[in-house]
Amino acid sequence: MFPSGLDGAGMQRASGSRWMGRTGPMALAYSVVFIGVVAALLTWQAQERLHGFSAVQRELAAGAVSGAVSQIGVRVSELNRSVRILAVEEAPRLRRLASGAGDAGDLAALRRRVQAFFPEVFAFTLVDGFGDILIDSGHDLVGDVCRLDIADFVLHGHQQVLRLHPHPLGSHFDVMVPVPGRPGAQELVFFISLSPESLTRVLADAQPPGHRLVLVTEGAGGQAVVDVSAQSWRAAEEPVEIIPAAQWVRALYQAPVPGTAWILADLPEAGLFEEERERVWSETAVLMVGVVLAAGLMMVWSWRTERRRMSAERLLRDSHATLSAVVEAMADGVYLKDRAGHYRLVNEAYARSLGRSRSALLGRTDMEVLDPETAERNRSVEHWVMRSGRVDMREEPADGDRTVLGTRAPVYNDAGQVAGVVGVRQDVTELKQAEEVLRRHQLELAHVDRLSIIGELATGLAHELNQPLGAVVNYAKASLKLVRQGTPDRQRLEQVLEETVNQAMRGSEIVRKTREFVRKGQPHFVCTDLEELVRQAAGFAASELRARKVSMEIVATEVGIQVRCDRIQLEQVLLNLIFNALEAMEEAQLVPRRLRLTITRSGRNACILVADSGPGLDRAQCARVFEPFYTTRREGTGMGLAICRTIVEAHGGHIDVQCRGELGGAVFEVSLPLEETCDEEMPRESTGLSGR
Amino acid sequence: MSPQVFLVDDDDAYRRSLRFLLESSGFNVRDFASAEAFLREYREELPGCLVLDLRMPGLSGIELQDQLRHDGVELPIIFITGHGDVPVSVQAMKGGAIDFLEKPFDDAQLMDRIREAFALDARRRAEREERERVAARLQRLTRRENEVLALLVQGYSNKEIAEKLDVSHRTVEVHRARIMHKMEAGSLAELVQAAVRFGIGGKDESTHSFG
Repeated sequence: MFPSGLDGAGMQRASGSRWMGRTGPMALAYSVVFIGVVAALLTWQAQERLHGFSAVQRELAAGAVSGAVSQIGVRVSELNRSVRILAVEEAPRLRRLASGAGDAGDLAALRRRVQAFFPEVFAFTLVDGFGDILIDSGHDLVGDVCRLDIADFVLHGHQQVLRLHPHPLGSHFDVMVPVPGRPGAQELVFFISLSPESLTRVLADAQPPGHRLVLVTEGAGGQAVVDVSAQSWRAAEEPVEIIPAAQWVRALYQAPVPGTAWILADLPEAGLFEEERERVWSETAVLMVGVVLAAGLMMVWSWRTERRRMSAERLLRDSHATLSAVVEAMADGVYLKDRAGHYRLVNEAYARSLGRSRSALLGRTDMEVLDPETAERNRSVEHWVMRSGRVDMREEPADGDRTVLGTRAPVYNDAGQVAGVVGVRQDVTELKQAEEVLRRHQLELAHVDRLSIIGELATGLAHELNQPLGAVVNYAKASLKLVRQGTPDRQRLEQVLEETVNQAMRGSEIVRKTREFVRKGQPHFVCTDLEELVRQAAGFAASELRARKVSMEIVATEVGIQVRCDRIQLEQVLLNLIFNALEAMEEAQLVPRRLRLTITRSGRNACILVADSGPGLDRAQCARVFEPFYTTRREGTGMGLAICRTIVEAHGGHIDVQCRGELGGAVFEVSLPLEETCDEEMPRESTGLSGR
Repeated sequence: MSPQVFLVDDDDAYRRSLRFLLESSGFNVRDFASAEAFLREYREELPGCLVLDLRMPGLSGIELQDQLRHDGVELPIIFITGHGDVPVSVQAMKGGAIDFLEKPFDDAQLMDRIREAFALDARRRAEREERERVAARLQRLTRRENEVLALLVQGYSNKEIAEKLDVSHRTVEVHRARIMHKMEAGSLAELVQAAVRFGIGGKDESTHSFG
């Protein structure tokens, strides 16, 4: 409804606090927190991804290892069974060979059988129950390890533990079986050395990408020794691949292979997790940078928006503060009322003028704080202002004989509806007094001017007055003579006396008019017929005109043109103009001398034109002619036209001059507001400032 | 023909009152509302005096006075005025006015002045008639008689004249007798007076004296 904060308390609040400076850091803090939260989220997500990855890899590893373990187990048991079957089938031959009864043919046949059964056979060996080698396929394979294995096998009731035997010709593992025989027969153990190639294939098949499946045996110091991997197996000449304990812990999954000395482990490739970590983190970093950039942009954007908003706010607040300061600093009382007449804003001066505190006024109506009569008057004026949408100015009495000029204007809301009234109360007492003094001075001056006019007219007036006086004297003397002659002609005498009275009246009329003209008093505004007034003023100057041989005509373009004026002042204006015209014509020595007074109507104005046949005015004179103390005459005071202007303007009219007019000389034009409602009572003064 | 008061004043009321006053005192009055009206009506042979208002539209009193003097009209003028000032009255008096009266004035004074003016007018008219008579007589003198008259007026004796004109004493005597007769003079003194009034001899003598 009202502009925000335009109530007294709001204004103070607005002017008192400066919270706006915090908005920037707040935004910054918000941004930092936002970035922090986003960073944490991204980190968490990256960790999760890595965790997930590693879980998947572990599962993968577990699957691969389990699969490989079972395949190797199957393979081992297959081999075992195959070797047992071979041993059963070839038992007679083996026993023959063991007892030394066999021949070269037996060995060759055995060799063929073995090779047919096991394409990847490396060698075969037959030993007795004490571990002594009975048959060697010729490769001279059997070393200490083999002996240990054989002893283990024999001692532990033919429970074989598969292990790799490094050998200069190639690593291998042995599948051992007892050779069956009749009870009590010599214990024989047959074993076939196989290349680990088939194991390698199993590992290669089971090995997921990025993983490395290895078969290891435990070495000294907790170190693992790789025997077989998907790529290779250990050869005797090759350096032993040892996985240190610290690295071993990275194994994703490990499981012992049943029936062997091996542990099958899944070792991730060195780059597997690093690459993933790198990928995840770089993605996160990119995201983070993106987020920071976005946040930064948002911050910049919001900062700029904020700054714009703040500067707009500051402007608003500054202008508001300025306005408040101005309103407060005003010596005039200022108030704002809503439609219902409640005070919504008052400045200190206003509150003081009512002798109340601001808080005692805000929210209240005049009915609550003023006497009923004043309150009612204010209310009716405010109603008029709000209804008409016009500004009202009026003088109002105030405490201690002071005068206040009250101005009231409507206030509109954003929708353009009248929201209330704003008022200013200006103490114009001193102004009025000054005006009064000025007015008195102007009256004095005008009076002096009239006296000087009468001074100029003195000769003419004396002549004018002496005519009736002379006539009276003549008639009286003549009457005396008639009476003294004894028998006066009665009818004649009456006639003469009547004439005498007429002339005496005529004389006193001249005296009356003269006195009236120089009378010093308050102006008296009455409705006046302009033509009649012009004729009377011209009558004053008639003898002067005669003396100066000026012919004058008075022209009225229509009858009954009326104005409201002070007769004396307006006659004074006309006489001033007439005298100026006379002087102008006199000095120019132009003949014939003519003066024309025209009464006419121009729109809503009544005009009097005073035209002479003098030389007219030049441009410079024309421009300055109404200035005080400006004169072209040797004896002029220069005040005449200035006074004329003051008088005419006080009548609400204006005076103007044409440098050269209808008769060749200057034309002065006096315009006054036309009065068309002369019969009515004078309307009440609405502003009172004109005062006259 | 009895003298008249010619009253010129633009103020009707005043003019009527003054005319009434003068008539009630036995004067014969003719009144005019302006100088122009007076000039239209007035004939030089009408005797009397002019009672003239100073301030009038059209020709003013002073201007009428000038006009009349310019025309050789010697009607005596009494100025009356509502309000006179010194320069104008001086000008009027220099112009030969009888008096300059300010309204309202003592009627007895005005009437005295009017009577004075009448007398002056009558005297002037008589003088003019006399001058005209003398002039008519002078017309009748021969050239030689004019010469002799001039010398006589200058105070020369018969003998001296005879010498100057180189004629005989007797001839001068005959001329003198004829001049006396033609000029209808009873004595030499009368003759000289008439001649001097008309301007014969005196002018000549002054020419001699100062020329």
